[in-house]
Amino acid sequence: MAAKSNILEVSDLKTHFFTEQGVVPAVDGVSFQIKRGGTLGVLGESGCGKSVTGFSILRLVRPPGEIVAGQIRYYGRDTVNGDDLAQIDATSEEMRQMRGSEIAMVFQEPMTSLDPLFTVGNQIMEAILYHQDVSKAEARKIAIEMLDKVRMPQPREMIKKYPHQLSGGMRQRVMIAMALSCRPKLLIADEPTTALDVTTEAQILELMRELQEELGMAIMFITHDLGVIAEMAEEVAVMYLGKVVEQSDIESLFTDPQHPYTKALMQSIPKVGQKADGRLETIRGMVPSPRNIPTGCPFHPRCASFLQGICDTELPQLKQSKPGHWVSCFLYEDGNAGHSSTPPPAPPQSIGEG
Amino acid sequence: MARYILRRVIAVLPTLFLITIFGFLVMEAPAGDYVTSYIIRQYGHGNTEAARIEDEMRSLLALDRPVYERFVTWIARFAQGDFGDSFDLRDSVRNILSDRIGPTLTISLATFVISWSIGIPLGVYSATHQYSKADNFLTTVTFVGLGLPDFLLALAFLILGWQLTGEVLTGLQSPAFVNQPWSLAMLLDLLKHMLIPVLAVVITGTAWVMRVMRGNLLDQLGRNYIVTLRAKGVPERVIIWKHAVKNSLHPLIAALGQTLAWLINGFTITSIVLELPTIQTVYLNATLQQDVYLAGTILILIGFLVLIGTLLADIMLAWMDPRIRYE
Amino acid sequence: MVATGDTLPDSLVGPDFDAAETAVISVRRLMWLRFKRNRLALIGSVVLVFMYLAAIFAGFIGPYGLRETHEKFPASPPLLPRFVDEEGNFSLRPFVYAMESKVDPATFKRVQTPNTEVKHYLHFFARGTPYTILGFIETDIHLFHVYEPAKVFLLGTDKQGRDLFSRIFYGAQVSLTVGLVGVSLSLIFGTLIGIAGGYFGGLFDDVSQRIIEVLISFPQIPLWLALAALIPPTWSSVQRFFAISIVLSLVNWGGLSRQVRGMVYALREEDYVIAARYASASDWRIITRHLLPNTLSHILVIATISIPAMILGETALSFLGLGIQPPMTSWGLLLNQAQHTRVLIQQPWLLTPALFVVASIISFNFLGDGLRDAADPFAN
Ligand SMILES: Nc1ncnc2c1ncn2[C@@H]1O[C@H](COP(=O)(O)OP(=O)(O)OP(=O)(O)O)[C@@H](O)[C@H]1O
Ligand code: SF4
Ligand SMILES: [Mg+2]
Repeated sequence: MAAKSNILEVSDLKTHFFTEQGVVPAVDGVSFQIKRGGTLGVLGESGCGKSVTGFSILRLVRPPGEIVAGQIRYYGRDTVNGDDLAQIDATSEEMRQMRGSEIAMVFQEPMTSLDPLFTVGNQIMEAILYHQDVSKAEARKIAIEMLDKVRMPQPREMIKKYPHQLSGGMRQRVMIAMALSCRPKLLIADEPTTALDVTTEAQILELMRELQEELGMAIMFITHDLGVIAEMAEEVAVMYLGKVVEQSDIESLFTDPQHPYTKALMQSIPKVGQKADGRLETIRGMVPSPRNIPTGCPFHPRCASFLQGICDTELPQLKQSKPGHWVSCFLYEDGNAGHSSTPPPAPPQSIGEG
Repeated sequence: MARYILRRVIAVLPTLFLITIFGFLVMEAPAGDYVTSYIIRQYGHGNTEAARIEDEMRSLLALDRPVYERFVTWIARFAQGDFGDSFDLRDSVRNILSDRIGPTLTISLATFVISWSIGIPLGVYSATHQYSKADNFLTTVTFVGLGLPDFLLALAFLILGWQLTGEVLTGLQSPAFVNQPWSLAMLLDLLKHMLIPVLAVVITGTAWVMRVMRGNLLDQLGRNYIVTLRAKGVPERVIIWKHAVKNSLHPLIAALGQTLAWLINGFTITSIVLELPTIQTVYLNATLQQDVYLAGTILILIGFLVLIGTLLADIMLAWMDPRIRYE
Repeated sequence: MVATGDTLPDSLVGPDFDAAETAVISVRRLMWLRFKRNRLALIGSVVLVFMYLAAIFAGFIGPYGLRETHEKFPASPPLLPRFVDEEGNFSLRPFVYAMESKVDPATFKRVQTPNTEVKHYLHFFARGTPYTILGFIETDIHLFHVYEPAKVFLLGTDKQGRDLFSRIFYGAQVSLTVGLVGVSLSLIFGTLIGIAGGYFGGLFDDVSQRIIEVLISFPQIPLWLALAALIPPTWSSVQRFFAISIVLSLVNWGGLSRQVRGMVYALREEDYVIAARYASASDWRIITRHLLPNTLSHILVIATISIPAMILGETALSFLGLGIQPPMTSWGLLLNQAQHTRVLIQQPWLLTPALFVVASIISFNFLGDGLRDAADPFAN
């Protein structure tokens, strides 16, 4: 069925941390799909579980964290039935083989994501040597090629450098080169530009788009920046407190945002002429700690359209409100669709091709 | 790299000179001198005649000269490799030290090698199995091990050894083997005598290495680059041994620098308790008797080894860590 | 979906949520919770509480006085209370047989044989040798006691015939306080230099750091020995006690000072200190109002962690005869008699003070580790 057109289908994923102070449901029922060669943007405030979702897919969550429920169907190897990554032993050889070669990841913190004691060339070659049957010399050649692809100047010299000799942007290029060196079918990019300055950010984003076109991989692009999402993604999943509250294509999300949280996000976008920073400060109240998730709809203490008696007692489910647009909010259940109590926000003007 | 080393060596020289002066002054500072303490001891043995030769003895040993004069004479000879004579042992300091360096290093190197080669793998195991039963057990054992002073352990082992074998296992040789040519039986006898000091010191040493290794490895395993390595599909074994362990050796290498001096002054009290023919034993006696040239030489030697050790550790760190190398 | 029992009331989630206040309360609570959860740290603190109580009530716990000698019982092995007599009759109340000294007709050696005709029962809370508690409460009540001519030596006696069990608790008074005094001295010295260096930086910082570097890398035992040899032999036992504390802290302050400096360095750049500086608060005020309170819990942790080294130092020095001198006693000094191998193998009970040394060191290590984890919940 639709399975073959998607590279990844996550359904009702729950990853909890069993800490000394109690259980932290960092990811608590996340569902989304990523199309082959497509880009899914995952949007949400800090701490809503974006990184943990990414780690769960690669099975990198370590104790006290644990995937307690859900499926992660990956259709990269078996295009008909797929593999449920949630069922594979995280420490198994099978899972290790998948990491880097089938699914790769680029991280939030380029400054600390490389081993300081080895040259960047060594670290890229390491990724190649564990997945491809090539000699050291060939791995070296591939590493240089990849550095060239990510537009590192003088790649032959660069592979001899140590991480501390490179700037943040350079290191992130190295990380991308490393992630792409084995031509993965899915790249999880976890806020790859958050730690970088604006100019470098623009360069890296452009680079990623080009490489995606060239290599034909799918990208799961995690960010809290609406501007970046608009630039990179075709599909968007909006996360709030460990749950996907809305998913749709980028057009529909920006022209017709439905979940009150998404609407609030849209309203927080600055107008033309200002930098599209997209920090989500204007939403009333603050994000509750994932240790103390409110009852009912987790967004209800901050929601402007809060329905007394329903929203604070029952949990809304992710439902299709119109073709290709899912939302989890009582306003859109039982024919409520569209009749929200707040006026729809003005369509965003500055983002997109801005 | 060569310039870095040269710069460090030159920086060490003034400190070394200060340690030399400090070492000599500390030896000289207590009230009285070797002759005074000699006479007191002779009194203790019932010899009341000794006081008569006090002045004669003092001038014979040149102890009637002012401190600075003796220091200058001594240091001038020191620079030529003559460390002076021991008043008490009636021999040159050089002979005393060269007689004892062999046994000292035999015991200290044995304990050093054993505790590091047990401590590192156990520390790695403990860190990579954090909160498991084995880790909890090892951590508790480490705590207890760190709380067991080696000389008290040595005393307990002595009692135990006597109850088991009927032998008092002090020294490094049974009387029967003294001045005998080497033989297998003699080697076994030596090993038997080494067992108590080595075991006593190894317990604390291993516990220390284990704790440092575990702590640092845990710290490294929580770093971001470890996640990167996992995400690119590097086997866990390689992540631990090639990357994390290498990164956590920093404090152990720094400690390695101090080990050099430890080789000749570690387990001082154990040495005394077990009557081992080591440098530590003569150092304590020389301090107590104000046998200044002997004690001073050993103190300076320790200071010298501390500085050399720190230097070597710095060089090793620079060799291992590019961040230091290209500072 | 709510994981923990206590949900935040909704009002706290709103904009008027006073984050700062809640944070302070929960950090303290978190520290206590974490400490309480560390079983080894709890065991350590309980053992230490008992040890310090025993040291305070030393006279009460031991049946004999510190200097009380039993001439007829030099180097006596433990004489333990018994519950079963020679005929095999059980008695709930413990008793001892008096020992009689006789000359063995075969070897002509003096031997002690029990006189099994008379049972001497142990008396609890009985009157015996007078003593004082904390230097001012005079009493003569002992936890247990047995009347002459019978003796009870739970841990045997030394060569002068003094009861080791009683003396161990008097020794605890010295061994357990020398560490505290030494650490307090190191704290004062190390904290002052550390805070000054960390806050002012500059030449003072450079010089103090160089000195500390040499001090830290220099092995402790030779330094202890050299410094302890400087104490004039004519000093009284109390003067010596303080001199030993000073020696121990002189060797120890460097490490402590360095850690304090590191913390101050980090704090110096914190917003509120910078703010205080812009508000032209005096250095003294910034140090006492901002830096000290914020480093206090860490300083206390570091202090606790350095106590074992002090206890060990005192034990080692006294063991070698360079530390505490009679008429005071300490665990190290009690062990001094065990230094000679031949004595030790004949009288292995002389080693029992070592158990107390080891127990106190391990307990302090447990406690220090628990406190460190509690004070630094985000450490790992
Ligand atoms: N090892 C862990 N132990 C306990 N809780 C954890 C752990 N890792 C993550 N969490 C919790 O999971 C929640 C989600 O974390 P996550 O890193 O996924 O957030 P994020 O959406 O990526 O935020 P950011 O934008 O800041 O990166 C956080 O509230 C965090 O407290
Ligand atoms: S379910 Fe209710 S509270 Fe939640 S977002 Fe929708 S309207 Fe707001
Ligand atoms: Mg994140």
